[in-house]
Amino acid sequence: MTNRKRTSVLLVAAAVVAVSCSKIEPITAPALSPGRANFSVIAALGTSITAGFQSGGLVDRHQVHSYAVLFAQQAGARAMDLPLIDGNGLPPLLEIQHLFPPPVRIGSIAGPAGNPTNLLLPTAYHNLAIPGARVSDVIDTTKYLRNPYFGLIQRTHGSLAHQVAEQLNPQPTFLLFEFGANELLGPALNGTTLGLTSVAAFADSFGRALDTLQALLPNAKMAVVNLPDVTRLPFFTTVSNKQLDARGQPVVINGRTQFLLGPNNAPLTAADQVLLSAAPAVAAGFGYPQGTFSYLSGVPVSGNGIGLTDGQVLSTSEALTIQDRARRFNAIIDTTLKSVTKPRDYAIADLAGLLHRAESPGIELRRVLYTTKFVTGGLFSLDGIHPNDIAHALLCNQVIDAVNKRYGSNLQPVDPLEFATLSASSASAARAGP
Amino acid sequence: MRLGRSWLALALAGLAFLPAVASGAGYGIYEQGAAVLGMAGAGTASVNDASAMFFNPAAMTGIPGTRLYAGGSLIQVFTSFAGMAPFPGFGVTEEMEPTRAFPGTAYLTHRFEGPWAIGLGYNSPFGLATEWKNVDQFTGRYIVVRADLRTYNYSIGAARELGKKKKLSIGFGGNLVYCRATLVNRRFIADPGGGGGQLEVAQFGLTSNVAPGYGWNGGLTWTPAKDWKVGLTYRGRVVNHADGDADITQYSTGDPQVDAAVTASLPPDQPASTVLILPSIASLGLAWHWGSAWTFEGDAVYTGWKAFKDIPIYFQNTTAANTRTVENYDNSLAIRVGAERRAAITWRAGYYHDQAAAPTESVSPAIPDADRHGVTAGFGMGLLADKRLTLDVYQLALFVQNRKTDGVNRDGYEGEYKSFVSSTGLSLAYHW
Repeated sequence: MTNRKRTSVLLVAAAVVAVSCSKIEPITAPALSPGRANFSVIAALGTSITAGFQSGGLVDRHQVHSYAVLFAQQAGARAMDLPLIDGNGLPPLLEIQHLFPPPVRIGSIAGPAGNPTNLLLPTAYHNLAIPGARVSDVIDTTKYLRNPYFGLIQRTHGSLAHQVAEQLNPQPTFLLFEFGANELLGPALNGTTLGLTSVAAFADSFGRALDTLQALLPNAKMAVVNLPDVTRLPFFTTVSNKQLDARGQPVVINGRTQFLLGPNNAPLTAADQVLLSAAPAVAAGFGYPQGTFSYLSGVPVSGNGIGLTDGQVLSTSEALTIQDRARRFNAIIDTTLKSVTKPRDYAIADLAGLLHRAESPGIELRRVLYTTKFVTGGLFSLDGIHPNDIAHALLCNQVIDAVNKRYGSNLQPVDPLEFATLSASSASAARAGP
Repeated sequence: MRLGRSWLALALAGLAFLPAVASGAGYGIYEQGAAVLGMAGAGTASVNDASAMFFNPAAMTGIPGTRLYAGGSLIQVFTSFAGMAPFPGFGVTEEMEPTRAFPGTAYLTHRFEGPWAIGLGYNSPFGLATEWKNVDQFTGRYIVVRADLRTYNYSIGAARELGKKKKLSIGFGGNLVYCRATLVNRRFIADPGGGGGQLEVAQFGLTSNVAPGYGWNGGLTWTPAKDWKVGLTYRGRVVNHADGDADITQYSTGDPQVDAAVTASLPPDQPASTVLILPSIASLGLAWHWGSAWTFEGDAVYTGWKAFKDIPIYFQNTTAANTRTVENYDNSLAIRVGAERRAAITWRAGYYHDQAAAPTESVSPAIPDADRHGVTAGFGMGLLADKRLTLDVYQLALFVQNRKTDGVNRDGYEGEYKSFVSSTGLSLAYHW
């Protein structure tokens, strides 16, 4: 080998080593590839979840963090027009009024309700999700007047299906569709199964809603969010069905756990669920037999021997009925997609699975476990029903994952902790984080 | 008496050269002898110095007289990280403090007149050092701030020729492996207000005492034909149960009520322990001597990393605070090939490919494991007129393939790691 060749080899080797030792270059986000979908205009139809309803009300600081809005941002879509509510929210949101020492005290923000800030928007809103809406409301306008949120969001401009297809310019190229929870939640919140939507009725309304949207927007792609087992929301799992002592431990007498008194003063059974709305009554001594004490308020309150009402308890059989209905509704969503006779092209985001995972074992974010536990679990707002901003980000990632798999797109997930706040009803930034 | 002095020397060597970085897959260190490393570690069949105590104890029967072989390596590791979504996000980069470590080796072998040979050895077959820059801002500090694993392996072995034609030798021995581990990270909790925000509330540190573990090894060499040699060696798994101390330093959040709740929830400083796994290694080598000047060898080295399932931390007083970091490593295979040309100066060169042991889910800032391509070169030369003292030198350039976490990291720390390892080593050999 000549000297020149030897020098060249050494120089090349030195260059290779120098490059290998150097610090890695930052990675830039890949260019968005929509795959088979088109994300230029995204609209959403759904319930209070999609609307970004939290802590008992609608307010702009949470509406802009709805999973639908986050999804549109990640997809690079045109900014969504939202039916924003300012100030304290509508109605005023719940807030934590006392945190330490326990018990936590929650109440509505003192002050006036917020007002709509763009009620006169001439077009439809991109996020047409309406708290309390059912899937039948997509094409059936007859029940709109029963719910004041329709007046704020639907604004008597026609059915939701026609608004989303005809009153947005340009037309949506992609739809988010989330229904089914209210068909179950309405009765469940009142501790009953009366009024549950039947499986056949849901199947019919779901199919007709999709048919209508497909006819009106034949080229639009869609992500359908399935529905959670609402009986596992903190509203149904927070208040113990057992008599608790001053340390918060179940009272056990002669080896038998003592349950609260329920309807007809009969003791509740192990799987009966006491509603969060019954907490003030339990704190006041309802459900506790005479001679015992309720410590839920932080001080001992004598049991008044009056059982909780039927409307304050979701009985075991009621819960099982609702759970079964949720499974059947989700099966309809699933089978409708896979129908051989009428195949449909939409992605399914598994909200049910997300809630199930959040309940057990929980969801780890940077080695901190988030669960469905009320307030301290970090995923639910203060009404115990609706997800907080972090949970919306997790749902957004669930939708992104389903959409990427269905349409071959490469939407990037959001960092849920970017949406962390100091408290469940606050917009204040979190105090710290890696 | 001589052996006693040798042990003392070995013990001192252990104190002087602290291994602190992994240059093999997982946290393995294969830099155990400069001559064999010049051939990329391909020496299971052809090793002909006292480092046979590590590479193949059966080869001690082929090393006449009494041999002392001691040396060390300067291992330098450069690691950096580029983040991806969702966390820490695109555009974020992090850099590890450049690591320099000096794992030392010392071996002594003696060939008796009969078929037997014996040997003693000291080396550091495993090690790891991780420390990221700007720890208070390092985005992965909830996983690791600093990790350190040091091993001190003292071994004793014997070998025997079998059969009249002396084509087969077997060797066996025992290992006493001391380990010490340090693991430091930061702890976060969900803000009790329910908004999901996280509060950095404490630094957790576990420092183990130096704990012994025991293992065995065996090997054989076989000469099927005049110019061919086969080597096979196995070093058994060692499990160290290491006691130590957990040191928890609470940080103020600025909110006295929250701080009080955090204080109540954090475990106090207390004794703690962990279990360290040093996996088994099996190596098969085939060497070919071409004339009197050349030797070529190829080795397949299989490491039983599947045994490394987790890193548990057990608190003695508050067991509810116990943690278990899942690793679930896979067994890995390294292919090593090397050549040696003997003249006035002996020249060596080699290449190896070392397969990553960490599954993608476990690739983390604590152990950013990845496939590796090593290129080595080295030489050996006699230093005294009677050639009783020889010097071997090697240089290793280890090109670690960039490794992405593919969105599946167990700790949600997504991105791409880049590493490069340079190792320079020398060994001095003396024979009586």
